[in-house]
Amino acid sequence: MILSVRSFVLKVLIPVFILMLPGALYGQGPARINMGFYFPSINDIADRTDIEISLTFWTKELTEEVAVTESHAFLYDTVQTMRKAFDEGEIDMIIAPPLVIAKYFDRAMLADGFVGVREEGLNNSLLLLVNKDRIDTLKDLRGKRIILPVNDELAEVFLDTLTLKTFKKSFKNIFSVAQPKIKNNRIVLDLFFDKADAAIVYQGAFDVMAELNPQILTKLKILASYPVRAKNFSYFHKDYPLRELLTQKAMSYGEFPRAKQILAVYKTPVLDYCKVEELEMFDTLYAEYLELKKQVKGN
Amino acid sequence: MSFSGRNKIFIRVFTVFGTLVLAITLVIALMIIPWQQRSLEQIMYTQAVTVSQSIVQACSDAMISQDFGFIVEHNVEVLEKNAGIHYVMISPLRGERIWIEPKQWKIMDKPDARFAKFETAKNNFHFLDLSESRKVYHFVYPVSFSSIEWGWLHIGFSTDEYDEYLRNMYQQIFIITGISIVLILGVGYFFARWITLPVSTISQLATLVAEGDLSVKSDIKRNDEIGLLSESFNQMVASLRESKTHLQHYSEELEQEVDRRTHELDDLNQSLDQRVRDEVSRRQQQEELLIRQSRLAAMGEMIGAIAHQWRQPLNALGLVLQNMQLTYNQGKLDDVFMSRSMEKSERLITKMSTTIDDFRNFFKPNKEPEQFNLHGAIAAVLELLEATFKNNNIHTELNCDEQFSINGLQGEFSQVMLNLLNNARDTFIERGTSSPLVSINVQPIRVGWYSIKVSDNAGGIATDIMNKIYDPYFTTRSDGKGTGIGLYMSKMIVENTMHGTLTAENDTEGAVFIVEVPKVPGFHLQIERRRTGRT
Repeated sequence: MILSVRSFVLKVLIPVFILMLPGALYGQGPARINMGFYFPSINDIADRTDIEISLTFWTKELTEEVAVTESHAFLYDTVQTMRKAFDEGEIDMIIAPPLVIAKYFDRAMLADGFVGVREEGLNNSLLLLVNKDRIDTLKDLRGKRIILPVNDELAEVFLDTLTLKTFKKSFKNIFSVAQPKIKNNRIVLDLFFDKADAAIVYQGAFDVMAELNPQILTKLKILASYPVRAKNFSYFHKDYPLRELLTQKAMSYGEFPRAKQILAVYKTPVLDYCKVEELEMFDTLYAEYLELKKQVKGN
Repeated sequence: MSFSGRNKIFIRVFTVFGTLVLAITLVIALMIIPWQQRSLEQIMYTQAVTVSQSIVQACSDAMISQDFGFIVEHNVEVLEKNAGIHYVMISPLRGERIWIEPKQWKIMDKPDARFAKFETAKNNFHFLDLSESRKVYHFVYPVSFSSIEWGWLHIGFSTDEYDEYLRNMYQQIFIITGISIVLILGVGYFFARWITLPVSTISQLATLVAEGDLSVKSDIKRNDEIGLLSESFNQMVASLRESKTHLQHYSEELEQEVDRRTHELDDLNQSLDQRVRDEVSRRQQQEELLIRQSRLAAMGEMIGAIAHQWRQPLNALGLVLQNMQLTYNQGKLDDVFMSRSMEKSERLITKMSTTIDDFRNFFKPNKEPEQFNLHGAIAAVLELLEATFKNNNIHTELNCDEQFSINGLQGEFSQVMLNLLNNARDTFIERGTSSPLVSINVQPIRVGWYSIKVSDNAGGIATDIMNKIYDPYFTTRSDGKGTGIGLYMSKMIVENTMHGTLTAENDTEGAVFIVEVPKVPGFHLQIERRRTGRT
């Protein structure tokens, strides 16, 4: 489980650390950073206890280095409680899937933040992977077995949009839906080992698995994709006072030895700006999805 | 002691100490290496079993349900977490093998022949060189569930730690050996010096002592055996000094004593020469006296014998004279009677004269040995003693072949026989033996030798004097008539002149004197020389 905790640090905590670092360096006195995590979107990394322990541990270590004296990480099981805490100013930063943020958070309360990407300009898109031997087009998907990531609304919306367009039916009526999997890597493996005929995974997981075993590329293929920069987006509260400083210094995180060390070891994704406007594409997707559903119901 | 000699002891001690320490170090090192290797292998084996069990336990459901996705995922994680594992190979009995490494995994198109042979019913491990830079501890773990064989789990463990540990161990042993050598050179030098220096010093002092310098003294003061040796050495030197002083004193005394004794010996030597000469002279006188006494005794015997021989002719001559006187008185003395009487008288006188000649011839000392007849010589002796033997009613028997003869001095042989017969006669007379008989038996006993046994029936010789009878002047006669030189002279004649033996023994009747003589004096010596080949 240590590796999973480290993955958590890799994907979540290090960006936060980078954000905290400039404030401490500028000597603005005791600085607070309260982070709110949408737990269903990060539970593929570790269980709640492990996340809480690792957050405490890593936050303490990192804040000692950057002189941030007060830091907290909050895990939220429902988006409603997370929204409430954010609206009331209890948390200064939210980390959640972009569709969730787009759907449930007041766009006016959000300020630009950061997102961890694999490479600059490289998306972590959602992919519809299929077994080459059995499926060639979307129409071949009927009646096939499919695996989705657990608690991933974006994946379901993406797949439903595809089936609604192709079959005029929700994917649940087209596929034999297998038990959702928490880990994307595992989804790829199950597909490779014929536990399913199709699967929705993120590009990063697929690339990693294909890199580990090129045989995957000979057996699986991408049938459809939806461009997403990352699974989770991070935004500051618009009233958070350190966000400008943190934003200015975020990109220089690689200059700090400790940060560089951690990034080098864990192949930290590139930190990139994440504008609030980027949520609009998810608004569009969701709107299209709703429209298709409406059309299908109307038929 | 020379300097090189001192060095020899030092080098010997140094070498022994050094070799011993080095040998012990090397032996321990050589014992440790395989022991450590076995321990490391055991540790690796235990670790491999633990890891294998852990993987199988975690993947047991997936293995049973053929959930290879989970198996791959889990083992990728295992490999990511354990840098010491190079690869894991899942090898089910049915289905494809999966090869998993930290950076890749794959479905194996065909079984790897290198590993297929390891798939047995028991755990096994092998050190494999997969490439020049990649050596692994390949562990094979058979997987079974409820006694149902599922397949095998192959794990390639890194031998880096193992190799590193061995390298460290070799380095440590090398360092320890190096330190040992340095210690040997250092400690050994001082140890050897500490041991040998005092010994060498004492040895040098001992050399000086051996050269005669007793003024040396050891200054070594230590509370150990060396110190004790030093003290003992000083005591020894002191004792030597004292002994030397005493020795010098004794030497001087001895020299004086030797001078004195030398003088005494010189005196004694001079005195001894004189005494020897005197003794020899006295012995010669005694022997001459003995010889003279022997001759006188013989003469006495001869005169007695002549007297006995003459008694009858003298009586006859007296009777002739009495007859002549009586005839003359009767006036009948005529020429015929006178002539007959004179003839008879002359015959008697001639016989008496012959007797004298016989005796004189008998005792005539013949100095040159000559062949003589034994029978004749013994018979002549018996004839001489005939009168006295008849007078004492003594009978004699002579059993001797008339052809027996020997070469020698007949007179001396006759004297021996005469002595033996006279002894028998005297014993008869003394003991009053009834029917006294003397038997003389002569017979050859071996080639060139004769035995003359003179036996009597007078009761024999007392055993307590048997070994004294040949002593000079020893006699058993109580009337003072015995001289005690007869048997002594007889033994001297038989053994020295005739080169024979004279022995005596008793038989049932009396004494037996045995004279054994060679036919030719020295004959037995010739035989002996011939036998031994000596000249």
